[in-house]
Amino acid sequence: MMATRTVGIAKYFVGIGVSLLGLLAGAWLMVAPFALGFQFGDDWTKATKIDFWTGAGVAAVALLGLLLFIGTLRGELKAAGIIGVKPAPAAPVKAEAPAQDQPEVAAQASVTGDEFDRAIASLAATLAADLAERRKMTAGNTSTPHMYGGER
Amino acid sequence: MNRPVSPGVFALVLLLLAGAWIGVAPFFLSIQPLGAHWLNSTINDVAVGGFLITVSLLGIVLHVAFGLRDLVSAATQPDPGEARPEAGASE
Repeated sequence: MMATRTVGIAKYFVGIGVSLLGLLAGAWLMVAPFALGFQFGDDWTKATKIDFWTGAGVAAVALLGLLLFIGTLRGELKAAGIIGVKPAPAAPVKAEAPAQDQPEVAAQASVTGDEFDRAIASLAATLAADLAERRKMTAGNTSTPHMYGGER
Repeated sequence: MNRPVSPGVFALVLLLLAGAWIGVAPFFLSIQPLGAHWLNSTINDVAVGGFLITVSLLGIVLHVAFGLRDLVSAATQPDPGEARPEAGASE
C-alpha cells in the first residue's frame, strides 16, 4: 500500500481569506476620500494622501500575502503528491463487471491536461483498485455477510 | 515539509501594523483637531484600522493554531513505514 501523508490546509485558507479581506480594505482606503466626499477640489488634502498611499501599501502587502499563502499551499499539495503528479497507470484489475469503466478513467487522465482532473482521475483509479481488491477478498470468504467493508 | 507557519504570516503582521498606523494617523498627523467632533476621514480611518487589526490578528492566531494542530497530529500519527497489523490477525 502507498504511504500516506496528511496535509493541513485550513491554515492556508485562513491566510488566503485574511489576505483577501486586507486587499479589500486597502482598495477601500484608496477610494474612500472620493466615495465619502471628504476630498474637495483637485489638490489632495493631507487626509486623502494618507488614506490613498496607506491603502496602496495595504493592498500591495495583502496581495503579497495572498501569493505567498497560495504558493505555500501549492507547494504542500505538490509535496504530498496531490497535485502536479502524473497519475499512475491504471492498476491491472481483474475485471468484474463494474470495474470496466477503469480504462475510461485512465484515458480521461491522459487526455486532460488539467492538474485537478488528473488528481481526481488518480483518486478514482485508486478507489476502483481498492474496491476490486475488497471484492476479491469477500469472494474468497462467501460464508460471512459483507456490510460496507465487513469490519465490525 | 509540514511547517507550522507560512511566510505569508509576515504579510499579516505587516497588515496588523498598517491597521495600527491608519487608526492613529489622523491624531498623530494632527488631521483631527483635538476636542472637536470626529471628521468623516477620522471615523473612516479608525474603523478601517480597527478592522485590519482585528482581522489580521485573528488570521495570525488561527494560522499558528492550525499549524500547531497539524504538527501535533503529524507527531501522533503512526509511522506509515511501520508494518500494520492485518485486520483479522488478532482473531
